[in-house]
Amino acid sequence: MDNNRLNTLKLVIAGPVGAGKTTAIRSLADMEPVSTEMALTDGAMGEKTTTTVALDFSTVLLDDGTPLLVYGLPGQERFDHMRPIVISGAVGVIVLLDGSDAKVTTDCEHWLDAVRSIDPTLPVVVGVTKTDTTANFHMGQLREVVQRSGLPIPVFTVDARDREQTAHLVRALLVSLG
Amino acid sequence: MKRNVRFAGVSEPIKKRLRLATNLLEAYDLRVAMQEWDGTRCDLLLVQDGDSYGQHAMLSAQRRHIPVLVFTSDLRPDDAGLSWLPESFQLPQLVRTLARLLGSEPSPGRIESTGLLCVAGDQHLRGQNFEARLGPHVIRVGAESGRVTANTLSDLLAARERIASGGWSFTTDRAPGLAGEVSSSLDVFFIRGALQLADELPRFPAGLYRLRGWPDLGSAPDLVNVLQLAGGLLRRASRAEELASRSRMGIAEVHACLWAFRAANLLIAVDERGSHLPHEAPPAPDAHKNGLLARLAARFGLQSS
Repeated sequence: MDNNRLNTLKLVIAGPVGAGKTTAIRSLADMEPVSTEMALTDGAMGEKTTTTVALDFSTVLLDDGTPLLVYGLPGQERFDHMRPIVISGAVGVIVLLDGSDAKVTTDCEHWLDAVRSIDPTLPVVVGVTKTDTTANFHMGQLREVVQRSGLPIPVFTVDARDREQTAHLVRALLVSLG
Repeated sequence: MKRNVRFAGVSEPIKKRLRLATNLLEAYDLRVAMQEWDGTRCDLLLVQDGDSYGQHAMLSAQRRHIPVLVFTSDLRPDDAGLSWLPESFQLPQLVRTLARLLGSEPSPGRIESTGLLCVAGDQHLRGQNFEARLGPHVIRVGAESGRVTANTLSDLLAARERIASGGWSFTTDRAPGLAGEVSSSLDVFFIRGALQLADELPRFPAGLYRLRGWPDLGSAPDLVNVLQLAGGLLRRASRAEELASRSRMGIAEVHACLWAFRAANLLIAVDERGSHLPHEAPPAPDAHKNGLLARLAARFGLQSS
């Protein structure tokens, strides 16, 4: 393990396209994230016109100057080869989901499996955005998915634009570490 | 005012002692009419555990939020609206219990058995969608969606402030939740409501408890203590006093959280053997990583307990 890795911490934000990963990093981090955003090839998704194609990156400085490196994974499946590279060495993963998407339960299962396939012991917290804009969101179904994983993973509804709510996902991750 | 107490499916020896208790209750300024259960509204129902008629009467009473006292050989902790007394009770013990249940004995706090906080955790509403009404205020509790909705923010806040008050009515046949209405995380609604009334709520029934899953605390980033309390209850079944000593919360706040977790259908009572959970704990980080994580926790406002 190199010295650099010994003195840094890495946090990864994963999830499908449009869940708010870049927004969450922007609200959490101390500096504007470095993003690799491109125009959506299939046209705009509502107000969303761009998508992350490689990764987002920013940092949060701890009080002693140690950086927490925050990475955002691209949501598209064609970039799945990026996941093991980015997740390796992370303290945990925030899986961010779009609560207004009818596929939210399937997405949750898929992304939890994706993280588990890379590191089954990695702490995970699930954040769900846009739940207040839909009548069809079912927290109970997401909890069932999480329970099947056998670990008590926090599932929090959040607004990714809210710095404190995004920070609360990090707190939940740390509390679940024990 | 005369209090109406009904009994159903109790043995003759217990009936005799009930008659004696009726007279002795006058010492508590309680005038009690003690009669067989006839299905009408009353202040308290007494049944004997294991009797099928008594069980039927109990279910009927619980549907109407009538408190029930059960004589049993298998004593359990009191639950909201449901109290237990050993079948071998002494008369003074019965009189004191009846006086308490009929509201004549001072208690450390009050929670109306018809209050939303209490009823939401009762068996017949637990995990269900329902509409709750208190005067002009109507809210819809979506157990499946994990959200509570109202037509106005005023309704939602008024309901939260009166979460333990009596007088609520409940309907289970109306679909909750419509997009565009004011809504909140159901778990946060119960937790904030209970914490607001922490000093007025009674102690949660004694026992070992754990959480079946995390409460949805995402929209309550100010409730860091509740987050840590929930984390502790997921790792290990605990008593309220242990939770208070391990957390930075007062005992009244811990009891309030237990009431809220129960209302949100997240709380499980366990016996002593089940205090350690089957969940596989994440591997412990090495010492160096531990130091980094402690600094990370401090950066995000978490204090070690």
